[in-house]
Formats: sequence, C-alpha cells, structure tokens
Amino acid sequence: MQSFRSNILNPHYSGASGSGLVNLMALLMFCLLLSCSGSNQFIAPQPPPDDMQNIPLPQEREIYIITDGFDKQIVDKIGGLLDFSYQLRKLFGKPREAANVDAFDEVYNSSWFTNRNATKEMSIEEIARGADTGAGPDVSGTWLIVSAKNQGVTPGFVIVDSRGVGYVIKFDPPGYPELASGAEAVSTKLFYAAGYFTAENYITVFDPKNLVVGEDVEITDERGRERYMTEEDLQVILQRIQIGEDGKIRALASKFIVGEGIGPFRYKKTRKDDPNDLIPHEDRRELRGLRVMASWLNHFDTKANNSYDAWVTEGNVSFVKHYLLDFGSTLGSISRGPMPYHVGHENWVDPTAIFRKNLTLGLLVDDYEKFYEVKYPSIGFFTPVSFHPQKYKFIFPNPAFNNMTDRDGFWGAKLVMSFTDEQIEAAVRQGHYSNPDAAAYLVSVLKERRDIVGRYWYGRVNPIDNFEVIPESSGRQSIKFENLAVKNRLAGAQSSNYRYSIRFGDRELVTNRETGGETVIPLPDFQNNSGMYRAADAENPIIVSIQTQRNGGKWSKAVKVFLQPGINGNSLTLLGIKR
Amino acid sequence: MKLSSKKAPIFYLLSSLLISLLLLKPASAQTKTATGISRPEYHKINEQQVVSQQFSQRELWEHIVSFPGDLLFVPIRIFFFGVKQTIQFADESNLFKKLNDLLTADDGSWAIMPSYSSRTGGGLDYFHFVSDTLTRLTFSVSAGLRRRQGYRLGYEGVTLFEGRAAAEFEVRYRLYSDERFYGIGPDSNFDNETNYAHEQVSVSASVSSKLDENISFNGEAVVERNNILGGRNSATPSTTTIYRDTGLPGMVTGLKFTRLNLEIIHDYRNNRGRTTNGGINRVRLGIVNEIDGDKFGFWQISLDTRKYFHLFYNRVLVVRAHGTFTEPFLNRSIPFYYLSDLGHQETIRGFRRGRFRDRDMAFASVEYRFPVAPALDSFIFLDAGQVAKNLVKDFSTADLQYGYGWGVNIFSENRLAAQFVIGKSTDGFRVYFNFNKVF
Repeated sequence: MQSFRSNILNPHYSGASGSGLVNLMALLMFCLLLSCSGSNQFIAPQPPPDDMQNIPLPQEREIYIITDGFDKQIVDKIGGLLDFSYQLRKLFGKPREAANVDAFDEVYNSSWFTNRNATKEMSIEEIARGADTGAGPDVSGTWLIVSAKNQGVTPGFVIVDSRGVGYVIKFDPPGYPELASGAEAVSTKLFYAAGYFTAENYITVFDPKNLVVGEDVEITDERGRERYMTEEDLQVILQRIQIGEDGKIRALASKFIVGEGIGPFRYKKTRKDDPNDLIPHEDRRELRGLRVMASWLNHFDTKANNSYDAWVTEGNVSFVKHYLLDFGSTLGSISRGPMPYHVGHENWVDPTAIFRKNLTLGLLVDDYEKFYEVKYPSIGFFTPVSFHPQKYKFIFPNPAFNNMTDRDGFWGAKLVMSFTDEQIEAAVRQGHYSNPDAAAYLVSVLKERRDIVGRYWYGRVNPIDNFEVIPESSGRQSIKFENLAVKNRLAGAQSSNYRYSIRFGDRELVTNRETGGETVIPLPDFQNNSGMYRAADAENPIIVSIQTQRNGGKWSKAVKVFLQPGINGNSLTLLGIKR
Repeated sequence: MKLSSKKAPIFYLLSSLLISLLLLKPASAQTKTATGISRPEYHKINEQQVVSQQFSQRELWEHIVSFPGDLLFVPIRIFFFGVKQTIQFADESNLFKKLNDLLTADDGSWAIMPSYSSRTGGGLDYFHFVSDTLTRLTFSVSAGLRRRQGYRLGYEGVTLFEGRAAAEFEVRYRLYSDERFYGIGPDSNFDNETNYAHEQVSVSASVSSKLDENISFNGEAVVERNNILGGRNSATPSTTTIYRDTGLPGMVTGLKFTRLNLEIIHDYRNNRGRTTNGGINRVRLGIVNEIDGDKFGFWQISLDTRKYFHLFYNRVLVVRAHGTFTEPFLNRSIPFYYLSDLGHQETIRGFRRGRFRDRDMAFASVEYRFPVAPALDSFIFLDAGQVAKNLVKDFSTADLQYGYGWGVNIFSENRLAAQFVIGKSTDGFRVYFNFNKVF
C-alpha cells in the first residue's frame, strides 16, 4: 500500500502501471476497506439525541398507498442501483450499520421503541395485558357511531362508547369468524411485548341493538361520494357481518390512540417537521430489526400506512410517538380472508417473481404453492413450512428492511426468541378463539416459526451475548457470557465449543485457546502486569475475541469484547462489544 | 486507457483530495462521533422553530462515489415524481370513483363502461335497465383509426315463457374501414395485401334458452345490408381497385341478406373468467340468403370445442379445435367476406385478420396458462390451421399455417379485464390488446 501511495503522490507518476480511472477506483476501494476495517480502538457510540423533547405540533400528512408502492417497487429500486456507494458496500459485504445502537449493540428506549421482553422477561399477566389500560369498550351501554366504513370486504365503524371513549371497530371477513380479529389481538400483544408501540386492541362481543347512528355521520359509498349515514345503511352493513346465535357480534375494538394523529411514518428518511426525528428511518435498528418480528408473525402488510404517528404529551413535554397499527393482516389472516399462498414469498406485485415464472413457464412449482391449506377458518393460512426468516418478502420492498444487516437481524431474532412457550400461549389466549384446537395450532406454528428464526439467525451470527465481568476467588477476573442458541434450546451445551484470544495493543496475550464448552473466560493476571493494566483505556483497550463452534463445525466470526480498568482502578469493566 | 496530459491534473487533484480525506478520516471520526450525529446541532433546535434536518449516514467518500449516480437519478426522480403526482391526484381526488359515479346511476339502473378492441378501437357501452328486471337497453359506440366505427342499439334480456327464454333485439351499424384482403385459398401471399371498407347495417332478433344447467340454445334472425367500399388504408392498394364482382363475389354495394343462426352451447367451465377446469362446446349452423336477388346463398356450419385441463397448482392446458365449413346452395355464390377466415385473435394468433380465406377452415390450438401474480396469468400458445375450398378433400399438412406466442390475462375479481398477446407467424409479429371488448 505504501508503494501505491507514493506512486500517487509522486509528481512524475504517469500512470504507467495502470489507467487513472482504475487507480481512482482502487483508491475508492481502499477508502471503503479502510473506513470499514477493524481497529483496536473502541469508539463507543454516543447515545442518539433524546427524541422525546418538546416540539410543536407537526403537520398531519397522508401517504398514498399506490404511490408508496410505486416508490418502493420502482423508484427506490432504480435509486438503489444508482447508489454506487451502497452497491460498493454490498459488493464488499460492508453494509452501513444501524445508527442508534449502544456499545452493546442494543437500542435505546425512544419514541419508537421501549426495551421490554428481550431485556427483562415479562410476566404472563404483562404479556396478556400488553398496551391495554382498561377492559375495552363498555358493551352494556349504547355505542354511538361517529363514522363508518362500508366499502371493501369487511366493514367497520368508529364508535364512542357510553364512557365517552372512542374505538375503531373491525369485523371478521364473511365465512371466517375470529380470523382477522384474533390475528390482530394476538399480534398486538406480541409486538407490544417486543417493544413497539401499539394501539390498545380488545376482542369485544356486543349487541348490535346498542348501535346508534350519530348525527351527521358521513359515509363514503361505493362510488366515492360522501353522504350522511342512515339507519338503513347500518342495517345493510350489519347484514354483511356474521352475527352469533345469541344475536351478538364479535369484533376487534381498537382504542383511539391518545394524542394528535399526524399520519403514518415512512420507513425511510426523516420527518422534516419533527425536529426530534434525526436518524434516517432506514438506519434505525428497531425498524430494520422489525423485519424479523414481522416475518415471524407473517406481518406481510408492513406498509407505511399501517403505522401511525401521534403528537403526544407526557408530563410537560409534547413529542411524536411512533406506533405500529393494523395487525389484521398477520398470522393466517389477510383481513378479508385467509392469507394467499404467495404471501411472504412474493411482494404484492413482484416483478422478479413474475419474470422468473414467465421464464420458467410456471413449470417450477414453488414449495409455498404446494402446502396451501386452511386448517381452521379462524386461523387462516399460517404455517412453518417453507418459512425462511431472511427470504420473507413483504407487500412492498421496505427501505429499512432492505438495509437490515446481520447485526440488525440478530437483534431482531433476540426479540423473537425472547418469547417463551408460555408467553406465546398467553398472547394466543388474547385471541379468544372458540376452538381450542385452532388456538393450539396457532401456538404450535408460532413456536415453530420462532425456532426457525432462532436457528437461522443464531446460526448466521455468533450467538453469544449478555457479557459480564465477574470476579474470581483468586482475585482475578473472568468474562462470562451466554450462548443464546443454547439458552433457547436450539443447540446443546455439550456440542458447543468456544475459543478466545486476548489482545492488548500489539501484544497477543492469549491465542485461540478453547474453553471446551465453558462460557467463562479467565482473564490474565493484570495485578502482575500493572503497567499494562494502567495503560489500558478506551483508545487502547484489552480485547477478548470469542468464537463459537457447534458440533465440531466451522468456527464462527469472533465477537470482540472491549475492556478497560474501572473507575476504582481495581477491576476491569466492559466498554462494549463488536460483532 | 492511458492518462493523457490534460486529464492528469484532474486526476491528481481528485487523488489528492481523496488521500487528504483518507488521512483526515480518523480525526473527523473522533470529532463527529460514531453514529454520525452530533449533539450540538441538535441543541440548536428551538422548540418554537421547526427546523428541517437530514442526518445522512453517508461518509464523504460515499458522497463522492455516489455523485455520478445521484446526478443520473435526478431526471429519473423528476419523471417519476410527475407520474406519482398524477397518480396521487387521481387517488386523492377519488377521480376514478367519481368518474365511475358520473358514469353509473345511483340505483344501478344505468351505467357507461369504457371498452377497447384492436379492430374497432375505443368506445363506450351504455346500459339502461328497464324497471327491476334484467331487461336492459344498451347502446355502444366505438371508433378507431381510419374512421373505423361501430354503433349498436340493443334491447336485451326480455324474458319469454315465464323466464325460460330470453329475447334480444339489436340494430347495428359497423364500418370496418381497412379490412385486409390477401386473396382466396391457402396460398394467398402476404405481399398481395389490399384493403377494403366493409360497411354493414343489420337488424336482428334472437332468442336464447337454457336447456339445462350447462346447455343453452341460441337462435338468431338477421337482416343486413352490406357495402364494400374502397379501403382507407393508403399503405396498401384498395381491394376495390384490383378486384371486380365477377372475380371476387360480393365486391359490390347494397347487398342485402337474411341470416338465420342456430347455436347450441355446452358450457361446463368451472369459472367463466379464470377457468381452470371444464370446457365449452359450440355447434352453430348459419343459413344466409340474398334478399333482392338469387346470386348469393350459402350455409355454414361451425364446430368449436375447448377443453381446460387442470395440470397442477392452477397451471391449465387449454386445447381447442375449431372447424367452419361453408357451402353454397342452388349454385349460388358466397360473398368473400363471409368465407371462413384465419388470422385474427380468435384463430391463429400471429397473422392479420383475414389473412387466409376460403370456404372451409379448421384450426387447433394448444395454450398453456400459468399464474404469475395474484391477478395475472401468463400463457404460451401454439395455433395451427388451414383454409381450403373443401377441407375434407384438400387438406394438406403442407398448407398448415402456424402461429405461436405469449400473452397475459389480467383479472379483476376473477373476471377477465384485459388481455395482451404477442403472436409470431411466418408473417412476423402481431400484438393484440383488448380491454372490456364488445365489438
């Protein structure tokens, strides 16, 4: 490299060893490699600015689904192809990492996300409660209809119950009782427990006689014209809804989100009129990692319009809080019926799939076409068969999901794997399925898909985590860690092996020493190397590199753990990690 | 490529700039923070003042590398911005819904639907239901290039015999202004193309009845007047200047005919739009007689069978066989435009309409359909057939004509909404597009 530099800097250099263009490209490659190359120095990521600071009310906006899809499917794809730095990074396997992670590759609590189950296991009651602050709409009193949706396969209402609380009431598609309402109720609990902000969604059973059409309720008819809703319209809508033998209707009641609604958020760039919104959304860890959660729960419909920004006031501070909405198209439901077979395997309009199928004349039958089966009308089509967490495709290509790196995927997998069997069962109970077999089936599919997610990501990324520096009785210190694959029973403790190296500056203190399955690594006796110990700091830390091996196979990439003396000077503390 | 002396300074400049950036990089990383977000900038924000901010994660070298691509993307983005704005306007203003509202009655008693056919061009169909029955008045208009036009006034769905049959009355005017004529017989030459205008006015009454769930009967009586005029396509000679009535029967104006058509249809398709199983068989007998003379008169029998084989996972093989046999009676003639013909979208795709004409025609088609998206099926096809004066006697594999190609069916809720076909034959490529076609 030195000779290359000196050639470039030499004024007599005539480009004899290659063309100027080639050299320029080589230089850029060098920049890329250097900018991404490993360093012994540990630069702790500074916490992103607090995004819950007081801001004025941003303007409400709408995102049009057609143009949004057009953007994602065409414009963004062309833009991505012409983004040469992005392509270079892709070529060299050096993608840009998420911008809002801490030294341990976790995300900070923010207006987007709160660390919940993956950080501290939630109780069964907490899982069941989710975001709920009450028990849903009061079914004993009248429900005043304040707006109605009578178009589409499934109609819906916005009501105010007798307590004056507003809810969006959504119904199940004809012939599929409990399908959409169950899916939305279950997914809401799981997304909330994972850390995302969701609406309060309740399964409710009400008497249609309690519905009262409010004054001046506008209704949009099938011709796009707005007019006032009549009692007759209500009866027409009710005819399209399945009414139980007891004359009551089961529905999902989604409580109005507190605050001023300002429209959905996009999965790219920032909201210009929100001064708190500084990190491009496609570079937010929680949005990139959402891809893993969404694939687990078959949340195919992760378009911008299924999100919601609310200008909320907490204490004396008003800021924008970001919600995920509308989980009716999750699990086995696509709201208007069971999930079609291609969901998760193709975008809604997927030029690549269309081209491939035309090229092969449709002769290659994809696995997902073969296993289409709706076992339970209340569950729809939801299966672990042919599910691949990385290859899962959403309604449109999603900029944040497209930017997901292995580190983001691993983080997302930790969210998914944080759910225990009991927690999944608790969430499914919130779907209030009348058929216990259907509920049991849903639980089993969720567990299987969860384990597929875990096996994939914990196989792809070195799955060691939760590092601690612990004192030994000898006065020395050790590093303790957990193998998440072992913890989640996806790999055996006996079949896992670890090896580590310890480096300080230019000195390799330990090289490739195997632990034989032990998850505790003894650190060198720094008391006898006090000079070295005193010299260690963030710019010159002690680095422990740990690799994992499963079943005698290949060694994984190393996770580097950075250490420096603590404030008291007697013990080492963790600076952070690098995957 | 060797670095020229003129380019060298630019190269050195760029190189130096990059090297400087390279050498400066660690220092800048230190001051900027690892996430690329600097707090001081954030704290400049006054909560009363909305500040537009973008924190790009791109490093400087990335900006440089991406600059040419970004530059290229500008016009693309502007173009698509315009497209998106148009779409958004249509969506935001409920343009299509409002258009639909404008074109349909509140109570569903009338509607206007757009249509398009490559033969007659674009048009509108107007339906007006009479009272609460299925009886409706229809009026269709279409127009295309070279004054192609069609008008149709119909009174449809008149129930007879307590609903066991339905009647339909129709008055129709058509001007196909540039119909192609290549000669008669299987040897007609593509280079001998001429064109003529066929103007036709007809009045008809028809009765249809469902004999059982799958079998129906249609009977139709038509009175019509035909004019053959000079073709309006100046690219080829007019047929009228080359042929006379003696050489080409029917090459006159004012020919009036009565037509009687009887048809039995056996339709056992599982779905009328996106059929995956079943089939449809048709037998049709037509008798045509000149009204004011004894020069023209013939009968025509047509047999058409189409079978859909569900192969696997909604892949469907469609096999079709069709034969039309035309015979004059009482030593009369057959007008050339009533001869059987091959070469339009319903026969051999890849040829132009009327490419082969003779008394008899037979063709077979194999089409393989496969789904490529939720509302999209693609298909490939192979069509083969021939015309002959007497197909039983004159059939020859040497005279067989072939066409093959690919197409797409676009469905709207299992109804065929549009079709796009590319066919290839010895005459070259033909493209067909239909949308809600009527004529």
